[in-house]
Amino acid sequence: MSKIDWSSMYKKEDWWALWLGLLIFFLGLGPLARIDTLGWGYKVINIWADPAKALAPFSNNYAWLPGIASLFLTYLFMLILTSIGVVAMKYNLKKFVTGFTIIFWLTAVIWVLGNNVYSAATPDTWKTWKISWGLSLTPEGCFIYLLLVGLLIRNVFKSFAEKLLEAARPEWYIKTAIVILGAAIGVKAVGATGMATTILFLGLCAVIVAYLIYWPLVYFISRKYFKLTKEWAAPLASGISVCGVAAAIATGAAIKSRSHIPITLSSIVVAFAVVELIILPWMSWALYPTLSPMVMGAWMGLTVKTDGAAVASGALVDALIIGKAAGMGIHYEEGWMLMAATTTKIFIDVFIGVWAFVLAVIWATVIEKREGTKVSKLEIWFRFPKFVIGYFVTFLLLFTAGMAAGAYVKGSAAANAFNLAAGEMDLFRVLFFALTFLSIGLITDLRVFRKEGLGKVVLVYFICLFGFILWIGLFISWIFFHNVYPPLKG
Amino acid sequence: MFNMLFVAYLLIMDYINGALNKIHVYINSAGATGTEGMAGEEPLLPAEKKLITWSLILAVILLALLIWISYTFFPAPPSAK
Repeated sequence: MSKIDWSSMYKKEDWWALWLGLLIFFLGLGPLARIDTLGWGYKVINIWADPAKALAPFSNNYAWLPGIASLFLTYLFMLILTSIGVVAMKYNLKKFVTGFTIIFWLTAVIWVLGNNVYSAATPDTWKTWKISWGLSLTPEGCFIYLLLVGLLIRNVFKSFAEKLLEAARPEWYIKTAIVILGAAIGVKAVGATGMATTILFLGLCAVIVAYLIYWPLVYFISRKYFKLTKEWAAPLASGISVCGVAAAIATGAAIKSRSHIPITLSSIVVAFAVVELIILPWMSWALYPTLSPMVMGAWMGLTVKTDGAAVASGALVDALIIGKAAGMGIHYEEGWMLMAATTTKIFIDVFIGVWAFVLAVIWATVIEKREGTKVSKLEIWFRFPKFVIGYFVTFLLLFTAGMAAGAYVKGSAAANAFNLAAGEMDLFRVLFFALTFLSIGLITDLRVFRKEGLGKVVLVYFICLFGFILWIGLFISWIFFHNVYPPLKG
Repeated sequence: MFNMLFVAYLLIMDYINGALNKIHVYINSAGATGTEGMAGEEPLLPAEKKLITWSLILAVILLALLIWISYTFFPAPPSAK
């Protein structure tokens, strides 16, 4: 009988995302006890016209701290936290520290430059900034630059990219960010419980769509028209329909396919996710204001595979649409589209273990009857993405505490304290996001599309994505959000 | 009207089927199946067909149920455009 391997709690990235996220969360609770614990962190959302004002600490309580010192402290803090995880997981610490340092400072330089007024300011503020043109990408638009720089390094300066690979860990960074994001969403939900319920229902529908519509359709097309064997078709269907790498590997293990199959398929899924990440947020941008911004956010969660790319595309949609709306004189609160994308994706993730278990049972008992094969229910726990626990813990803690403290009253002392706490945690969330974007680029070898033998898989992915995944996802998102808009600022 | 639409649907599906088969032949002839054991003569088993069909049926029922519950008991809050 299988036993739970408790050592995975300090050996796996999934768990370390949970630990790091929770640590930042608990440190960030300081403002609720009137202690400014993380306010020294670098203020990530800081549009500037004067380079002297490009760097600043987040909190006014640390106004005495020079901006560059704030950025250096942020680097040191994140390096120490991640290095603890690296040591526990027995990665190469020396290579990690070197890689992380380069990745962090590259990210920081791109981020600071991308926060300049010509890139980040929205049209409604151009007069204030005394400029006549701009890209209107908002500060989060830097994610686009980071992704492109990462892709450029990986695909042009390969030997340099190799040196960074030990620290290019997008899944780890994004999962840590998602744990922290739970807190920010908890605070947002305090002021909008009705919206939270709608997102909850959308999340449940997303599970049905991913597992019971996308999966069987992709599997059918792969088997019927592309003549893929079962051991290729099932992990491919999971990779395309559910959640990229994790689902492909879980399915491969469940149906006992040869181990190289889900790994080969994962490389395609990851590369395709980057294509989705580049195309879909701009499609959403084009569809606004015909469709509600919330439809777009949910659409990203339902359509883009891999946690990193899905949540990242939610962040991009948030930035792009807020920028476009501001040009029309509409000022949405940040983070709502990202919230819809993340929640949808997380609901889908939660069921990977259950799905792997169900497939294992069906394969062992019906499709490839294997006498004497027993499937342990513990498989569900093994496959459960642990960072999701962190997301729900931080969400529920801040949501219930915020409701109890009356933080739903705008402008109240409680609301201000909760917003400050969430804001201080969130700056690290944004930085982990930024590291994710650069890392996704750094690990994405676009040559995979030309790899011999994988043309068929690429074609299945292409046909399924543009044939029905995009449109079913958009339709379901529309059903729930066609009349729902993010709250306006102020 | 319905019959015409149905016939049109069948024709489109037949066309797609033919196109996909051509693509399949092209890929095979182009030597794109170098990945060992990826494709082969392994027809869809009745159990697989059942899995696909029942998944889709279950999905439609559950989606209809969830959407109905959501619209009836938890309507989305009014919000500014």
